[in-house]
Amino acid sequence: MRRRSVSPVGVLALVGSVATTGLAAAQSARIDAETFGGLEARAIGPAVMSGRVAAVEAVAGDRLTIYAGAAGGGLWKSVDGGLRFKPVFDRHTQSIGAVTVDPSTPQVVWVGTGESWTRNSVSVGDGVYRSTDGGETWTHLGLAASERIARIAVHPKDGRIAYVCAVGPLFNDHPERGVFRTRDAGKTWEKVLHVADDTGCADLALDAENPDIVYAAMWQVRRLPWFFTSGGPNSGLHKSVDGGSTWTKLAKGLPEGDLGRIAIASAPSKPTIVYATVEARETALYRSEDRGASWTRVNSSSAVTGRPFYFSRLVVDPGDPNRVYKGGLTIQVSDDGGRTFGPLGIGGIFGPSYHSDVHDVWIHPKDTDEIVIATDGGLYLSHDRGSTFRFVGSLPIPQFYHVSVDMAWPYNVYGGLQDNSTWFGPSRRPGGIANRHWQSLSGGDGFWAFVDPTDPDIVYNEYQGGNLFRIRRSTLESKDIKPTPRDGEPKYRFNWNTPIHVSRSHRGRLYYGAQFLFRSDDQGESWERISPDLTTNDPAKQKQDESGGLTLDNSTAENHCTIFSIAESPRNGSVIWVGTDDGHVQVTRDGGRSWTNVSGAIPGRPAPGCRASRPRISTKGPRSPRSTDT
Amino acid sequence: MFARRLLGLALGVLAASPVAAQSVDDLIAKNLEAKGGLTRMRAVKSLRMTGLITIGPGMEAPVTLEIKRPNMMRLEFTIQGMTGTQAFDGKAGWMLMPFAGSAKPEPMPPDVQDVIAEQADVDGPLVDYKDKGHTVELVGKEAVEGTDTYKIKVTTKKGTVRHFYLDAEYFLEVKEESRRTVRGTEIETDTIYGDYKEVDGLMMAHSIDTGQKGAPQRQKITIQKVELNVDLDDARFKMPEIKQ
Repeated sequence: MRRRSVSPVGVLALVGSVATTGLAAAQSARIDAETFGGLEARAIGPAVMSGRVAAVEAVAGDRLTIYAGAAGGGLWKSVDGGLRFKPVFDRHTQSIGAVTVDPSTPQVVWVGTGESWTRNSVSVGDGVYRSTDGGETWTHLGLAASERIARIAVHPKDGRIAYVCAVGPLFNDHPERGVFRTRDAGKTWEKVLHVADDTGCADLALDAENPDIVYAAMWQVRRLPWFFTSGGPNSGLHKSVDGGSTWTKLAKGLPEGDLGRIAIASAPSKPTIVYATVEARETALYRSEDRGASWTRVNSSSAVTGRPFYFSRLVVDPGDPNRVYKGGLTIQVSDDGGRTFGPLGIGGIFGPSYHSDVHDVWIHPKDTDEIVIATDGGLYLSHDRGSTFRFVGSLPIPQFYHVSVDMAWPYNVYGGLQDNSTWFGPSRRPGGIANRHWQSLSGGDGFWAFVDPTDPDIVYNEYQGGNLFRIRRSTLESKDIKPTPRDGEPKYRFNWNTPIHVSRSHRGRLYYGAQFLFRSDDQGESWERISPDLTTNDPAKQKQDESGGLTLDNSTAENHCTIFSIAESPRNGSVIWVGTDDGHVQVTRDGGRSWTNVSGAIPGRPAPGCRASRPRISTKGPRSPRSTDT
Repeated sequence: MFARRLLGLALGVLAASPVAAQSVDDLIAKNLEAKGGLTRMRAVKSLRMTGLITIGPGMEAPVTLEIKRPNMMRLEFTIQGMTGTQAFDGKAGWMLMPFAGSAKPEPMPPDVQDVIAEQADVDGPLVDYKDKGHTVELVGKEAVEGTDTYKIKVTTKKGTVRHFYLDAEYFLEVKEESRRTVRGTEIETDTIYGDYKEVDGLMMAHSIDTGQKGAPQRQKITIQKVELNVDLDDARFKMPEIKQ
């Protein structure tokens, strides 16, 4: 499940070139690091839809200096209030979890890598970095195994002192998580708060008057390919009054029993007031008026309770202790100390005036009408406290799940993006490629998109959980062609990221995979099921309806025991290879009448149950796949 | 709010007659007549509309709006298998929005409560506007995308300003603009009504295109079916009890 981000600039034209020429080249050339040594990646955007920004930080001045930390596209800096951005972290890990400017020396910037919004397709980081020249150069400061960092807090008067709040590895136990402290600008670290190897730090806040007071939210969390669990007895809210040396667990007024992800915020203008959203059986917002000693539940509406693993950012207005912002599907604000909330950016439930899924908020310390929000669709700026927003159209950070190309000249690049649908755009244009040259095909999360090789106006395209469409590119006319179960058949299990394969051997032929393989010979008008269940069909891994832990989260992201990859031999359409997300590699040599599970015969297969992600068929002959990624 | 827009459509349909005297009142009377007349309109005790809303390129969500006198409404919409509900029981608005993981109904936020409360006047703001504390004036004639219209300004008791543009020939609404203040900032939205069709003698818009001024996103609702005087239990409009 580890997914490395390759580039900060969206799709690279190089990728398309490799895809079209790779198979032919494989017959004659040895492919290694040298093979592509002379090729340079060329950015083709797009920034029109931007992508997930996990963390945002800014420095107030004549013009705002803004740092945008992308979930998969690195760190970007603007010095002109958000008009232009440049990437400042290209040499390092591209998933950003936290970015913090030293309050006493704004040229010093700390970055924690690995976003902490732990969705199924979350990326990983490799520790902490620090720059002393405003982001031009960076020094890696360790905590490399922490994988995910939710916050970095820097002492307001002594910039050598910093706290790192590390969620840690998501899929396994690991000791490198919790709260780490440095007193020498990152040369050495002390792990000052560790609860258990399955429990990391999800949020951290300093008291504005007395920075020796530190609040830390500890989170017991585990993701498996087929299940997500937020919460457990190890989660809890902790407080230190001696700069992190000793800690006390806060409990008075907070819910009993297992807790999940907690967001914490101390009011800068009146630090006796502290807010926390606490995921629990009854998730709610709590408020303390005595620096966390006791808490009162003030709100349990959906404005504050939705998807805590994805939305746990609380920000208190720097000038008003009763004004609180909460990230979420939309950004919510309370003007009465958390008792009531309303959404910012009026635009209706289907379309706030910004992209939904708000992960972070920055508020100007002096002009609190000035706010910056980080969403799944990029960065937005508001000058009127969130009534209207301006989209930053210069951050090319979409997260492409896959890309493909057509046979036009110049060829077009197609791809599906995390929460930003499916787009296509040209690989080159006279005068360069601009945002306006990219066009959206559909909604939702995008994954595979393939042009029909015999009808270049037709694109096969999907959104999450197996929703498949045939789209006419010129008119955007769309037809739902998802296979549906017939009488007596079990429910089809489609992966979040369902494989589509367009045949190179038969005109109009498509393959699509649930637990069964489907074949269509009429561009998806009708489907024939050509396999039995090719997965392990393990009932223990099919409980996505119960997934989420304390907060049920059944989005199809945990659909498991599904086909994940399909490849038909380009020479012999009767030979089809299939990989499943639970470790099976199956082959048929008679067009689906009989299937053989050959997973056991793969030399060096990492482990049973590992996802077979990408079989590629050799063009030398139909007998064997050239390779399979697991 | 989306509910407001669909409700706005219904309001126009259910609006009843003012006492005609001045020219603005004449226009309102003509508007009601164009819609099918007061008698037919008042005979509608409840209605159900079903249709689609475009929520993105190639993505449409089914919606259902149910309205019952006096001042009750319930809106349901389904996105990717999840159904959201917004409703007003005559006194308070509530919602069930499972998209963010919330499985329980809850009161609408205060800002939206104000809107729903104002909009829940099913007869519309023009009817008995004096009694309701609204003011109404004829601003003048104005062209809307090439169509001559009469522009009527309504200032509601709560301070919302709504402009209705009546087609100068047919006297049906072709556009509505509203302005209200949220957290110190004025928010302007506009709604374009079109595709009027007759339903049991009433002229009703079957296309409603709404957006906030200055925002690129617009929401287009296409009404596919309208049923009048359907049997709707009052309980459908009340917030279900929350089991603690």
